[in-house]
Amino acid sequence: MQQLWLFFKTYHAVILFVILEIVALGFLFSRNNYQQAKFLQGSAKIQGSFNEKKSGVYDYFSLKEENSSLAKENSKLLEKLNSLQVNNIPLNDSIATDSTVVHTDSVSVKKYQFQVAKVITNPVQSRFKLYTINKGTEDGVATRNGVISPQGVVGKVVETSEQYSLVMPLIHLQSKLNIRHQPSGYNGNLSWTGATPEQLRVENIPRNATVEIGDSIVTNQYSKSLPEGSFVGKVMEKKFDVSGNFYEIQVTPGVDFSQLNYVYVIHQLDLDEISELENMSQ
Amino acid sequence: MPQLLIHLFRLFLLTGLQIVIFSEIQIFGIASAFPFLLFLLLLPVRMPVWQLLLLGFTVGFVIDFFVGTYGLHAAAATLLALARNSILRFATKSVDDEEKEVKFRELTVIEFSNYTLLSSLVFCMVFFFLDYFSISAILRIGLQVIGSTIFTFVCIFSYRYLFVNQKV
Repeated sequence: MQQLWLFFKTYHAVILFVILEIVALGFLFSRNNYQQAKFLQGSAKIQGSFNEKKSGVYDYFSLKEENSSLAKENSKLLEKLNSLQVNNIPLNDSIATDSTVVHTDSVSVKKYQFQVAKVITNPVQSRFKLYTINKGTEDGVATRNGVISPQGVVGKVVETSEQYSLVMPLIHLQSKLNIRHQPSGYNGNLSWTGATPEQLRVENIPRNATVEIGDSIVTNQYSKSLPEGSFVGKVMEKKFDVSGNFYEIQVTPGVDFSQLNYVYVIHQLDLDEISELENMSQ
Repeated sequence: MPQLLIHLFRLFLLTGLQIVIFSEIQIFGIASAFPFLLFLLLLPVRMPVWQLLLLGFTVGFVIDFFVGTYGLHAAAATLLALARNSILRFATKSVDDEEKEVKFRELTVIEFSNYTLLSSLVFCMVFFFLDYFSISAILRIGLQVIGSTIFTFVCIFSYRYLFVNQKV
């Protein structure tokens, strides 16, 4: 007993050090379990209200950039609207004046709702960081909702509180996304290499596809939380993987993750119906 | 106890600055600053190690909580708290003498610089290695460690010698 006490007395600092490091590293490396989710929920609340005040001040510094990006987006939307009016939907055509036509075709039914949210933390240091946005369950945000910005896909909502939500960006080590190589139409998986924010990795695109530098990478139809065809990024570098049968493509994301300010949360209106159907078959 | 008050003041000021300002700054995409380390560095020399460890862990954890890094600052700050006394001994060569208690105000500028620089280096190495946790990013880790060490050093140094015109 005396020996034990002596041992403890001599090495108490080391023992305490090991315990504290285990606690800290435990937090750092276990990001999926229940405690982590609870911790996130609690901290989303406190961090949220704190950071919202903080970002109220920082906002003024980026007004100019924000304005020009909004103007750009506006012009892009106008262009799209214009082309829709010209090509497909004769809005003012006298033949199609019958406004009582009910669209029963599912193609024309509204499937997505976009909601503006503001990013109130801008994590720059860690690769495990989540973005906090100022919309929560009270505004109808749910986990797995997609998040995009005018420049492209940002990520996915992973945790919500009443007024705030946490978003896992594409540049998070656990982020996974189904994507399509736009020119060839082949599907692949997008993840992050973990090196720099400019390097995303696409796998599983077969060798016979023709991939060129600068090709667009967009979301595909299997992605449940994001509309098909949302822009993700551009091909920056291509090579073949170890087996030689697949490409290993490096992609630069369209979004500049250090400059995020306003984003859109996407509610897919039939998400519940789809997941219910999928659960039934299991 | 005015000494205690000074430490408390420094704790709140530096932790606040770290959370509100310095966690948002990254120069050239590589250099971040961690001026809250100064609080750990200026704790009394004779403080028992277990108290240092607990303080380091707590401060790190509070910053983690607000910045959203969950355990990263805490892990690195705890290690720095353990290594602090050895670094001080190495940088000043005067703690060995049991009779003389090192007063930080008696350190020369060079001694204090060595002490700060080495401590920042240790902290940044642990911080960025844990953050990336991969060998393939070793070049980037190296860049960030060097950049952040220098930036942290500049911040701590200017806080101590320029803005706070005191001899604590």
